[in-house]
Amino acid sequence: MRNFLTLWRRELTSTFLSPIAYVTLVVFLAVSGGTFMMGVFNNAGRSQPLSNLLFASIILWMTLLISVVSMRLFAEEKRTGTLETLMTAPVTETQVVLGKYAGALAFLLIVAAPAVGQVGVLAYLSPGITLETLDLGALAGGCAILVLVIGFFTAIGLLVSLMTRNQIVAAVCTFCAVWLALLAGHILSAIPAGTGRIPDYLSVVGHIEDFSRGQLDTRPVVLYVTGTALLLYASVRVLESRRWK
Amino acid sequence: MAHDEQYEDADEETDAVAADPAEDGNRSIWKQRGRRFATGLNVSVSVLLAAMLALMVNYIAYRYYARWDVSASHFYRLSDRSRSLIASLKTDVEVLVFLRKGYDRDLYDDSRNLLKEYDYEAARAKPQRLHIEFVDPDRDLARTRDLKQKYEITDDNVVIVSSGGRTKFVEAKEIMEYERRLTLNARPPRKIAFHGEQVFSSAIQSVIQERRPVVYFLTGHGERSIQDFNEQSGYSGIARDLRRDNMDVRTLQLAERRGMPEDGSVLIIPGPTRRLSSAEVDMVARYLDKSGRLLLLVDPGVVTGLERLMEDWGVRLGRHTVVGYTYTGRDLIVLEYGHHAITRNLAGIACSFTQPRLIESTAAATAPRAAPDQPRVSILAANTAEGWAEADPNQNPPRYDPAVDKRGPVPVAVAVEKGLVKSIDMELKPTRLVVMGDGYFVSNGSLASAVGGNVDFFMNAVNWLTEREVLLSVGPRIPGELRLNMTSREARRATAIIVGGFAAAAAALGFLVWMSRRR
Repeated sequence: MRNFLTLWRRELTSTFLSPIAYVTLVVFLAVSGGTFMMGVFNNAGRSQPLSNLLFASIILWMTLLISVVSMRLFAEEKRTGTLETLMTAPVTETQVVLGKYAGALAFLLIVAAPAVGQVGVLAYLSPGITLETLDLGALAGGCAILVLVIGFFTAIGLLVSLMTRNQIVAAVCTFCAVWLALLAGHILSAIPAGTGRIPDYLSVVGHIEDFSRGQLDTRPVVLYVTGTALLLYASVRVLESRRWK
Repeated sequence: MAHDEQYEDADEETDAVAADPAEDGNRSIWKQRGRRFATGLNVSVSVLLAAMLALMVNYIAYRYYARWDVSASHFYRLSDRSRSLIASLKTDVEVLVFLRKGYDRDLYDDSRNLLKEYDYEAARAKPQRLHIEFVDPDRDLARTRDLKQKYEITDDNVVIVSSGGRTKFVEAKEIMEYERRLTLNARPPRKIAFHGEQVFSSAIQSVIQERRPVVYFLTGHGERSIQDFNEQSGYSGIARDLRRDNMDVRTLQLAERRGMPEDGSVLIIPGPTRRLSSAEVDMVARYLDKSGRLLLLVDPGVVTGLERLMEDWGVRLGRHTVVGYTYTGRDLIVLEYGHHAITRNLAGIACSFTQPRLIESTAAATAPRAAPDQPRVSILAANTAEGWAEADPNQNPPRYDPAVDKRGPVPVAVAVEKGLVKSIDMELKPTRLVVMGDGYFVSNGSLASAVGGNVDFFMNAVNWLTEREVLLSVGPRIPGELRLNMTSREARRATAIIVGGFAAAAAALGFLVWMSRRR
């Protein structure tokens, strides 16, 4: 446990001490805030829930951020050779994977938190939206699905980063994989009859819409938790295989 | 010679040693490849097994799941009535949803989200009787063609509910109500109300019923007419609501038909302004004696000819006008109701009566232990203790005069039941009446301007009279609107703060970290 916490702290510290973290933070908050406000003005007078607009704008730009953050998790260490040094330390592969995953996830959630807070600022500044009329249940649901989806996408990025030593390749592949996961439901629903309810079950967009309306469901929770666990397990096995090759 | 042999042997040994590194190298490469292959195979197999385990867990989660609505609006939460309807299904009901996303995105999303709740409730019922299928007319072309032929569908935006050969079509315009107004620019119409649960549940109920209730509206005595589309006085709106609730609505001239038709489930007398003849009153009396069902709406100051008959049933049509809490000075707002199946779901919902007539009950009829062969009157709605029954309707503003007025609470609507007998062998249908002291109660003007409880109250009364308490009226959901109420300047300021402020704060934080590292 101590090794895991050490690795986590190391990962988080190195991320926050890097200038790239702040550049991505500034750009992310600006574009997600801009997208959110654009959605609000376009939907003024309609019955579109505010929480839907907020979490849709966060997830949209979070795909880019996840690609940038996860690309350096393992790819950089492999390129510079520090991975071998790390593996000689008295740590298990599981601790390394979990430590890096937790560090990246913590950074992404810390970045997403102020983005969620933008709706509170809007409620404060807008006479038409008050803190009382904000649907806190829907916001809580949206936060829950945000954590699950970010966790799942980060696990994708970590596995991809483990497969290559080139950061750019890792970033591009992660971006593509994340968008494939995001659009899986839409792609499957385009196939003529035969897929049944599977597109709905796999639709990340549908899950975000439901949760950010306050409709909680155990199925997406199980999907993301098992998906994340599977990807992390695969990452551990891939890292272990390096030792035997 | 020996020396040559020794060198020959040495040469042979050298040749042998020179040949080994190449062999060893080859063997080493193949060993390495083999080890890599084995490692790769090991990883692949273990990940594949883990994936299968994840798939199994997801399959179980797909079959056995739970949903909660934690939103403040509960916009898509099903009412208890719909849930009990789904749980009580005895035959299979198929729901085919043909809604084109591009036609009306809000309608599509709201309908789909609501039907997900139906699906969830259906999955909880064992065995599952309600089966919902979503068909996208733009994508599922073959399926769309087959179903169009089967159901002779001409419109792509329809929900089809079918069971046991009976089919009910729910059109898109019934699901969502829009504000109709002329505008100079092409703005999308504003949503006023979402009737999804009402229309879907009604449709399910209609296809499981072998027979639809027939509601007759009496005419010929100046009653409000279901064919009158007048904005104020007409009853066309409530007739539409009754049809939407799967009832057959017709008019009845007692003098022509010489009695209530055999297929009639309920007789409604909506605010007559002239007396019924004694022969007509006798027809109504005979109908009631044979377990009839009557909904009577009477205005103050009108002599209907039914006063004696009503007294026989324990109801006195008073001459007073009931006053109490009011919005406009002419209406009576009721927020608390009597304990009855009709008003069970009206707690917290306001109803508005326009200068209602006092509807009293006789003492015997409200006795707590009235025999089954005596009429039992239950008070549905009344004013409060601060109100009273005003004897002089022309007094403006009304003032309480203890000599002639009656202190509240006094009733404005009552329900009567007589003759319910249940035994091991049989159950006799009771006679049921509902009497309301306001003929304007559900006219078009009242539906448009009054508080929302009037329709629910009326529909509940009709459903009680037709013994359809399983599904009582479900009110529409009013979509909330995103309103900023900001000037352009305020909007620009808010955008600058949200977009620029947060980013600037992050940049400042980064600058501080950079400065501290430099030191």
